[in-house]
Amino acid sequence: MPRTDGPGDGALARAGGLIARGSLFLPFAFVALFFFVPMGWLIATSLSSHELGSAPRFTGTLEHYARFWTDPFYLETALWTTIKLSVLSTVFALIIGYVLAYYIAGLPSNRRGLLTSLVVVSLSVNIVIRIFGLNVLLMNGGLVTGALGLIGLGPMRIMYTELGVLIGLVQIAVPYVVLPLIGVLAAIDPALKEAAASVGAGRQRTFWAVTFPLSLPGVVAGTLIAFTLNAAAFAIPSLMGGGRVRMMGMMAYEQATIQGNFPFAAAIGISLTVLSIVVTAIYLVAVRRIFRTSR
Amino acid sequence: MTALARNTGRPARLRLPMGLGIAAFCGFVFVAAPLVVVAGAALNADAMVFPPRSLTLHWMIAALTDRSFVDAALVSLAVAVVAAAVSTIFALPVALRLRKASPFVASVLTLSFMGPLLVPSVIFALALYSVIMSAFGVTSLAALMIGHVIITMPYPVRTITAVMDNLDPALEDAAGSVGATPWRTFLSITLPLIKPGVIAGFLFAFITSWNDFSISIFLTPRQLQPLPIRIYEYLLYQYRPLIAAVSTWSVIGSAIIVIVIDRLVGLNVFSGRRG
Repeated sequence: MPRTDGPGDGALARAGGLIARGSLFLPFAFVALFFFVPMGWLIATSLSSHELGSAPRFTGTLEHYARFWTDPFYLETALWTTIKLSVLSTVFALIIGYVLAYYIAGLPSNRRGLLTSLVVVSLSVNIVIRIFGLNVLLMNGGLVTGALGLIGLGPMRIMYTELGVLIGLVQIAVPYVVLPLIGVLAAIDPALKEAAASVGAGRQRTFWAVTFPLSLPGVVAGTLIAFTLNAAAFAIPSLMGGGRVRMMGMMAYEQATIQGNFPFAAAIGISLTVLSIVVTAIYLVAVRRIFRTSR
Repeated sequence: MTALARNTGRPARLRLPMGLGIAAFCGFVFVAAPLVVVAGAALNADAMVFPPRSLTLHWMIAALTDRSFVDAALVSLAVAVVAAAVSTIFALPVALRLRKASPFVASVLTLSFMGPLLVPSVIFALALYSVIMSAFGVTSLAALMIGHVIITMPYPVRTITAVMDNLDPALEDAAGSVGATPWRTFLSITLPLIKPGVIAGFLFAFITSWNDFSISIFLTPRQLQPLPIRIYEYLLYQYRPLIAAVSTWSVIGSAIIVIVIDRLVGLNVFSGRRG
């Protein structure tokens, strides 16, 4: 963007900078006090020893991390379930979301509105209500299990199984994937696709060589939101898993509020945060590497 | 995606293939199903099943007069308005500074104000909860609002930054060169130009707060439960069409908000700038 260097600019920039700096104090103090201090506190808590009925005492111990990362019970029930369900649900949400976004973006712009608002309304309805709706639909004797029974797949239990939790995670995540993709897909110049077609590329070839790479920013944005949301999912496993499907966010909540073991809850929480940041970083590096070499 | 794969080898026509339409239809059913089911269950006279067996508006009316749900909705509304207003006001100077910042300052600002997006919200809630419990022993409405401000702040920061990128600095310079004070320039030039970003940011923050579950479940004071928590607790112990009716009103409310957003700034605020 061109910057003018007129006489007013320096003074304005100085004065504007002063205002901006002065008014930044409050937000910074707020974030420092209510975000960084609690997160630091949580890290300290995770390194504290725990005795039932008394406050955590900071001793620098790693016992809670050791407990979580070595006990096969936690590795299998919480860690593996969290990774498996969050990755799988992100993949399914991407597939379903891509189809929806591709369809909406392909419509004439005056007809996009209604379908886009359907997706936005779904996004803006409280997660508890959406899970409740799924619950009514998927419960034993409900519409879905009934229909499955009719085609000979019954009796099948969906609620309170991993499948049920997975369906819930995908349902919640789809709108987050669709919305960034609509914008990106609609912005792709149709001339590019026509060009590919005119040099003889089939529909599938055109899609993978032109459309998909160009939609990558939307794919990355959508899948990152879906993954971070689902890895930390709490309401979905607790309402649709019925205590049988245990994910790390839920386990941290239970350890803190029901067991009263704050240090162990904190260690699970910090582990989950680090895990989610590491997976995100690996994903971003992989996307960059794959699509730099293929272009 | 399978619909696309099936058309290999044929000459590429750019019209949407039929398989895609069917796949998209199934996708829309999947997205809309919970909302339709909840509305259907609310119209049911006796039990909570879908499709409804007999129709009545009894539960829809009962939901509007149930004190505990109306109160919960008011708590949610108050928290969402305060959190969205505070986080939008805080986001303004951050976005202003980001525009002129050096790479180092920009990364510090981004990390500080986008940081809450990197940390799972349950974990941040756990952190804030344990600090507040050790400091005060109880949680309060103020604590709930503080938590909501932190998790909603990334959205206005992002939307305001996005509109500021398209702002011509020459306009502000012109105001300065005719003698307007920086404050005056900000109020009469900058603010009107970035208004769409400010409104979009406020609405994002509002919706995030209104829907929030994981922060609220930790920080809710016993007497003042926001709607999602109230519904959750009710569902844990009871299962009656009343809850479906409450939910249906909430869905209708969300639809109205979406229509308002569409009128004010257009729905593309959701498609381009979320994330």
